[in-house]
Amino acid sequence: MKDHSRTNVRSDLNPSRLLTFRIDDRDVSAHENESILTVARQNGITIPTLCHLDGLSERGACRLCIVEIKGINKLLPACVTFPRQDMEVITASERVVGYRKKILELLFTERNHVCAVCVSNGHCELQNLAVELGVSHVRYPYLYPHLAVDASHSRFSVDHNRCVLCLRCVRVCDEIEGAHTWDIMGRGITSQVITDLNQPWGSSETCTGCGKCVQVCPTGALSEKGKSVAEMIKRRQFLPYLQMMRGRQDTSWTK
Amino acid sequence: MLESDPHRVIEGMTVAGYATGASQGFIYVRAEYPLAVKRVRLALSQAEHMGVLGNNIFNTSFNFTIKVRLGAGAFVCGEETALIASIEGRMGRPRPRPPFPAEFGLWEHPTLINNVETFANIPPIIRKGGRWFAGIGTEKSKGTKVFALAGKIINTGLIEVPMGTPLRDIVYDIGGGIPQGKRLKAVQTGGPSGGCIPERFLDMPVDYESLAKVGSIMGSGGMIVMDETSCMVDVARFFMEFCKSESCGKCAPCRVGTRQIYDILSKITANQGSPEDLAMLEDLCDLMKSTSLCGLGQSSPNPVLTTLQYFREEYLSHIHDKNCLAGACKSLREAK
Repeated sequence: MKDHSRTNVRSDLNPSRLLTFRIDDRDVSAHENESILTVARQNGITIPTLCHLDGLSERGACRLCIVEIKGINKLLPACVTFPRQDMEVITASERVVGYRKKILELLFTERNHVCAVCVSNGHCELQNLAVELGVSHVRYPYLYPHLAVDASHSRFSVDHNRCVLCLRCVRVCDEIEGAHTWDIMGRGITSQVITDLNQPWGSSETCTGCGKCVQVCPTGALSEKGKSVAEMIKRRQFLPYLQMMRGRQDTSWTK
Repeated sequence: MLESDPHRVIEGMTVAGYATGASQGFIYVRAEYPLAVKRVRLALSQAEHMGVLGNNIFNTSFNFTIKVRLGAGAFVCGEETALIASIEGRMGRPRPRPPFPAEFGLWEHPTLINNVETFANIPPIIRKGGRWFAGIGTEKSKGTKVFALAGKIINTGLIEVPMGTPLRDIVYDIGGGIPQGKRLKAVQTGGPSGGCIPERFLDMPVDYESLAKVGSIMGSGGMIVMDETSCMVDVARFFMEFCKSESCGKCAPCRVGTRQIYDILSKITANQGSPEDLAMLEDLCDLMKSTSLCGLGQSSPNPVLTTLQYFREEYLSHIHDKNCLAGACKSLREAK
């Protein structure tokens, strides 16, 4: 279901109000409506992310960008948490890094992520995250689900075995292309992205064939046809223009 | 509450609407409770007919209407942001807070969202005063609480007790004790994501603080009594199976974590447990508690963590001695 009315600007945050706070013992300044993630990146501080993509609404769902904030017991996702004056953020404590690794390991066990035979081998965000965080092995048992590959579209294919359910495809299709071909079906561990009420992608009447979903997909789940192993390099150059033209102030809280 | 005294909830909501300046209320009720739906709809039409709901209530300028929305079978829609999404017609998935519904709720408007029981407490408080209400219960947990008493107990059903009532009174005086003279083993409170309280804490007062101290929650007010024939590993597996199938799948720790924990518990009850399983269970529970997006993921490890803490010997005997102390796990019984 589309909700055009959703402007998703947080009315309680004033973009013209400036504040200062600390990230990893560094004093930084920010606008009130800039997330901790945005400010960290402006200051060259890396926080790993997976579901986040500049230009799309935020979900706060992959939990990889969790950070510690002094005085708050809970770990909060940097992508949807906004700084307050004098807040102290710690982005890479031992505790947080440990949890990030474990979440990443869980994602590896969830589907069949076999890099050696993947079109995105070497250009995959999941793989890069594992390298960055030093995940060299997975301590939890692999679930080895039996999942389908849909190659019915003339130019693209979707391999659910490689999907991490970041839902970037769903968001880019809905929010940018306006087609809302992609959506999500099921719940829990049985969740799956679908095209047109779970019909084959090739038979979709809403898909415009723009391919934005393929380009924003972090892994090899969505790829262009005709690419062999390690050949699917995503082209994201269009994203900054979309943001600029749309003048998006803030992002969704609702997906 | 909605089945037996829906007018109390309607009155409480109307008072809350008056206090906050709201003119529209919603009652979100699971479609699986048709009697509650029927009675709350009847009560709403009665209230409208009598002029205590609708426009110009009691000839004042105050307008307040209540609509009923039915759930579609998702446990997670008890989480406030998922409930709001469901009322809006979207999938029942929670979103990160802040912003809280009080600032940014239903259709992006500031929203007051409360449990039915909370609203039902308002009319008597207005009538008899806050001091009267605060006189019931304990220092920090005021008033009364409704529990759904179930399990291995003689009198099952809904009970209302003052906060702070000792667990022993609930089980033996109100509940009438354990059938067939069996021994009580544990009481699980708070619904599928509450903890199991062992018999040795039977004299603790039932209030928010004491429950939290032993690793359980007040939650939905569920109270399941277990006797010596209940295997605590199997109990943990049962609740994790529920949480796994009710996980919405939005955040990674809950989506995959519930499945991994469930798999390990299934392995142990199927006589395939190994010594390292316990450490892995604790590790996964800690991960889910600390990093999940909503209350479901953060609280669903409770049954596992409390049984690991209070009934660890049962886990160990499953794994090392291949023996289910309660005699409940079939594959371990057969292996003997």
